[in-house]
Amino acid sequence: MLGQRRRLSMLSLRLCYPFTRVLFARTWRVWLLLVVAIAVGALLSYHSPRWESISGVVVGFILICLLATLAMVDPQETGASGFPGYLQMLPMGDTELVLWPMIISVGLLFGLGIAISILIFGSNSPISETWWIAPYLGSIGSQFQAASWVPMKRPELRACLSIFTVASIVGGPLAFLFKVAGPALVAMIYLVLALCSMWLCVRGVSKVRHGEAKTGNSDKADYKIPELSRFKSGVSSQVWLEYKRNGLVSRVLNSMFLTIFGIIAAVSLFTQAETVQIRGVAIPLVPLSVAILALVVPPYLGFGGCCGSEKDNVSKDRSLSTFLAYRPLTEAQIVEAKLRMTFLLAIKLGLFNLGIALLFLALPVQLGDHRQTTLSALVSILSWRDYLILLGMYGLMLMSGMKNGASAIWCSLGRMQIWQVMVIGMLPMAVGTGIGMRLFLHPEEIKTALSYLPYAVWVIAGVKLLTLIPSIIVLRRKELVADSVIGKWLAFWSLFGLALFWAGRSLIPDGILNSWSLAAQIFCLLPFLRIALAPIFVYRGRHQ
Amino acid sequence: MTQILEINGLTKRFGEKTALRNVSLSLAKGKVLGLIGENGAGKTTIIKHILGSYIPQEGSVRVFGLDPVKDPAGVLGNVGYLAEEDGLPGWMRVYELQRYFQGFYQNWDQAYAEDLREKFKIDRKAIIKQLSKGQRARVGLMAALAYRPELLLLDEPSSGLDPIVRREILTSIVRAVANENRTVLFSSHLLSEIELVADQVAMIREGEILFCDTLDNVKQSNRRITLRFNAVRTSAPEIGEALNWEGYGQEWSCLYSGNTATLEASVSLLDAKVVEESWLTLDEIFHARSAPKVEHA
Repeated sequence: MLGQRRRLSMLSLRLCYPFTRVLFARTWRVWLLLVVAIAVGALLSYHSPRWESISGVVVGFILICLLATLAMVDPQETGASGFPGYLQMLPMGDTELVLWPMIISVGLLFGLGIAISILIFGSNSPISETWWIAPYLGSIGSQFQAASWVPMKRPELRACLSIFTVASIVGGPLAFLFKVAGPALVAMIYLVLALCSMWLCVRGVSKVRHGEAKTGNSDKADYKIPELSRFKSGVSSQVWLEYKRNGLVSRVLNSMFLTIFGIIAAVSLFTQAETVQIRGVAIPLVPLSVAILALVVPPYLGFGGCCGSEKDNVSKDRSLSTFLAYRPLTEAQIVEAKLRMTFLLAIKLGLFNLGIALLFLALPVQLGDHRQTTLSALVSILSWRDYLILLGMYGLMLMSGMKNGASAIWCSLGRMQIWQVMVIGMLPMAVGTGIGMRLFLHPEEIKTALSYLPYAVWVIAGVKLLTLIPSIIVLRRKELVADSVIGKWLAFWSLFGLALFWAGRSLIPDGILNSWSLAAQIFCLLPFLRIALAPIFVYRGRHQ
Repeated sequence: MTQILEINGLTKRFGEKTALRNVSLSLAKGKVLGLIGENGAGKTTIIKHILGSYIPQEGSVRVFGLDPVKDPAGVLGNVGYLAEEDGLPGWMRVYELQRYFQGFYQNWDQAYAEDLREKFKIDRKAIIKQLSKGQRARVGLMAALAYRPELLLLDEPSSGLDPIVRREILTSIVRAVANENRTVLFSSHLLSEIELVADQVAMIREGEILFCDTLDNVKQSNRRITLRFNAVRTSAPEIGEALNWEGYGQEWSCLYSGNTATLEASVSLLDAKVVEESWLTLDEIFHARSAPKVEHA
């Protein structure tokens, strides 16, 4: 009997093989990237401790990509659950079907956590302080899987579960860093969360497998159709679609970020506040940073609406949805709809986050022997000119978000590699964040870093100019955009650039940045090239 | 007569494989063209060229006199398309889909859309991905019809529709569209449907158009003949325009698509006589044309 049971469980492990193949096929590139990043990070960390933070951020970024890829096995397969429908047909019990891949994933992540704690952080910290990373990673992996596999009646519920997962990602490290809990307690909490996730997944997939999962159809009788006006044009229709569909990802991500910021702000309430001196006034650092981050996020999240990446049943090999490709819009109108959506989303999220940021700033924090709000301290030092500068900077961030939006349209080319290039292309951002953290911790190195900046700016400006000219030739030759539009577009951005140059010249002293460097930086900042390339990429994705 | 669709010498290769080889087709306003062929013959590739998804490697495609690659908005604004696999956004509700389409098409007729929706028994509040495959195909058909497009492209619509909808609704709709002097291109393997609605039939095999003519001409020019030879034959005879030989000994039959005078001349040369001659259904013509040439000893 025992032998028969053992044979059965070996059989179920073998049957689980297709699933592990699917996971491997989806994630092997990220694993490879991660191994390389850990190896480089380990070498750098042992060479010099200053690289530890940069390596940590880069490895962390790739890890998030891995976890997301690991969980999203096939979200379109069943609608209600990301667990692939064809695997649900395997002749094995629900528990074995779900638990084996989860155990394998958790085990791999556990091993990865040990490698990171020894190779990267182990060079400067005793292993007793960093071993919790292993259960932490394993648990986060299973939580991601739960967020993807458990069937949810409404997408909002899945978003809530995802937000909880993100809160769990930041909660543990914060609790450890702020010494709220030791490594053993943190590890224990994450192990419990991993077990809960496994239980949820088994129950959820079991319900889907046996047709017991509730669907949104059941509330049809109660659903009232709102009175809605007709869209004025196809572009307006498309903006609505982009906002409702692709914008959902940005809204969920925004909620995740706000959750993280909220946790950080809440933790800061119970500790003595660190301050930063601005114009001779002590401003609490944590609420200020959290409020700034909450406001910085929306312009960069807006680009989520630009992805033409909805999975397409007609031609699976490209991601400019054929549903969009067959709408009577020109390539320029598709780009216009997506950029309008980016702007709309950034403004809406920005206004929402402004309210949240004000809430963070209005929280009283402990300063010495009294409690004070950050808002009152800020109001006392900011003049109307400062508010105008802040508004101008926000405008620049919106423009920068639009640039990201235009490059997200490049995904319309649709091959999987483009997505991977996008993911890998974000690595410089992660490296930049790491360098920023380094400079924040060691301000004496800012001068050295700035001395390299002009060279980098001139190289980027040269590449942009060399690419812009052929792009405009292609736009004209393929008649993707009318000559008059190209003329207006060049004139608008040139005037905008001149205005920026004037503002920069009047705000930045010549000794810090000379006029040529300023002009080159403004040229790099303007979204000339990316917007010019976007219709070309849409054209290439649409007509093969 | 105004030509809605003109395809001349269209060739498309995907790597080593030639998907379309020198295809030429034309379709006049108000006509229904049935495009028949096996899976992988090139029907969808032709339709994708009409929609501008593919750029012709050789030849040209003109829809309403426009190039669908250079002027996608001009072409797609007057084309209704129902895909073989549904490509509708599953997260939308049916009424949201109607509203979304209204923005694109000035001719969108909401009353007509509602008529169709009720005829197809689709709930306005339903979420598209939660509908059955057949119901989704009906939603797609409603969306493709409600703006009264000048050209309606139906790519294997029957694969998603149940027999009742296929027979009673689809065919009546296609005929109604043609009666309004609008044009339909209909691809299918279900030849009985094509026979019911098509004015013209084009058959495609391995990327080549075998014939494109009115349904009557196709039927009249394709017949099955049975020949009796005076001597026993061990292999199929050779007659021009004859294919798909079957038989043994003295009796052999084939599909013949030439004229009667040529046939009589060939038969007398072979010392045989025609003992039976019958008209074929489109289905029989399709099978005879699709079948690989087999010689019976």
